[in-house]
Amino acid sequence: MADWHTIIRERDFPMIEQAECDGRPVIYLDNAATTQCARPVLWALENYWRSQHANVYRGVYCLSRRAEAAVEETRQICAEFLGAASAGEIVFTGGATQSANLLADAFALTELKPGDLVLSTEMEHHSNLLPWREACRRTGAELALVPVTEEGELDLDALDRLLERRPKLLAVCAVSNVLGTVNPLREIADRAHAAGCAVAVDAAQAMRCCLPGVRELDCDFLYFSSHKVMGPTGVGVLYGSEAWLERLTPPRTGGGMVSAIREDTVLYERGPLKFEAGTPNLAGIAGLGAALEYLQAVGRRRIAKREKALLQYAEKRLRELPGLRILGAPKQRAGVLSFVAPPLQAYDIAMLLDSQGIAVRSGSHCAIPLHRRLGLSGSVRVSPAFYNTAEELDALTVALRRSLEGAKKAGVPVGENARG
Amino acid sequence: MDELEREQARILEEFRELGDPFACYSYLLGLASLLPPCPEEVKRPENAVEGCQSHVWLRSRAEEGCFRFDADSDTYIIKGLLYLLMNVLDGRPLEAAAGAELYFWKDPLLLGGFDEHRQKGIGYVAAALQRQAGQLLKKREDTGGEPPAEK
Repeated sequence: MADWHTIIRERDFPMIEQAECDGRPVIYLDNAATTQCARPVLWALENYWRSQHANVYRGVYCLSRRAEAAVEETRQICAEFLGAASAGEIVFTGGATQSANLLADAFALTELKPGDLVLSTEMEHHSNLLPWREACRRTGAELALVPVTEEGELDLDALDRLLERRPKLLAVCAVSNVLGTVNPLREIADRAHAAGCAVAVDAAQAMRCCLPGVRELDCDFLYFSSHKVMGPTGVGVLYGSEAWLERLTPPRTGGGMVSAIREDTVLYERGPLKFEAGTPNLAGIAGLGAALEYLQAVGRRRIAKREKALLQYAEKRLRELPGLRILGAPKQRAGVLSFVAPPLQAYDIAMLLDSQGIAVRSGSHCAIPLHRRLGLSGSVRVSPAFYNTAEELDALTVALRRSLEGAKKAGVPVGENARG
Repeated sequence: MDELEREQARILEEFRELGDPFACYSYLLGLASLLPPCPEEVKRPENAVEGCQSHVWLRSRAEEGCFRFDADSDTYIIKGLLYLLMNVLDGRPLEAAAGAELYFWKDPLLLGGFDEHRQKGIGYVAAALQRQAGQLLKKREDTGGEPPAEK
């Protein structure tokens, strides 16, 4: 009898089953960048465009009311998925990057002034770093980064020292998109809150690894993208506690977020709508709702367990290869595994793998400060999802071995200098 | 068929024989070691042709009416391609280097795995070299002699 993951791979992920490029089959191992859409998501998108497409909040007619109800239903699904207190804490955005930018802009408008301190970390994706850097630049606040240890963990002692300066906010990832480090978010949030510091969590890489609910994490904000949870691109979520959403001023204005306009004042809608100026990505929201329901139906614990096992297997196999060095040794790793094989560059390795039908990511993964900290310009990243198989990871190992041996034969001294 | 054209045809023939993309990339890794050593001072930001995933540095000069250049990259595959570009352009008369139609990396049989994005990156390097050849040519025409080599 087939395993559950084999059944759903064949049934629900036509792209994975049929992936090919120039007539050659492709093994897709770049799920940290984007996951493939589950079949129910494709149906939801089709259904939206076929029978539901109408603008929301402005129509009294049936189709508009139906579209609005669908958006609010997805808001409720998101709230339940995240363990939020209510759907009123879910803001729809264009993805995690837009969420971080929206929050940073709102925070700059409402909370920051010259001399204030904001914290981010050395392991952030640029999308959880640059919005805060820009917010600080505009307001005269200072941005400081929590350093990363040799093992690839956040240096919590250094965090404590920074918290003594009473920062306004800490922007931190739940899982590093390069090292896979799972950060101890609850512990971090407790320390930050004790210092009067709000906590914003970039959960883009953590949504499939059984992240605890936002109330359990006790974070003030959290964001993620639909395209990393089997949903479509161009849509995501910003969670903000009700108190925070009430307090923050919306940085974007326009239609759909105003309750009244007087000559000299504007009254904004309450809750998430005040942050959703303009027409939202309605089809994307429908797809996101279907994706989260899909993950719930398959079983979030089962998915997390399966992905953890695949990642551990990948690590075991890659450690067999001489000349290859896996980055970081965090206590808990999820989602991604990055490596180097000096003096080959990440680009060389990814190209050699691509030529053998294996799709991995190479470069800085939009985390230049972390690579700088590690003394590297880039790395190769492997990120299996639950629909991948151990056989695919075996194929990756074979292709990598062939690549490294081929490079050595071509005169590249792979493995002669262990440092990358 | 001029020399420059002949060199490109030779490259295509050589790579066609290799067949599959893995063999082509492995061969490029080997060619990387044939690229002449590049003086360290060339690897400055002002000489960089920035790509998304790899860095390329170029510095050109005119010698006795011919186009000469130093080049390096941080990736082996690109170094291999620079070696091929050097075979095509280096030492050619300035007019020929500036005005040549370069195409060898676009051939699907040569590097089947080179998609549009990657082709564009190599195209930027080739365009930068031809631009520099054109500038050297213009300098020569403006001054009526050999432009001095850049320090």
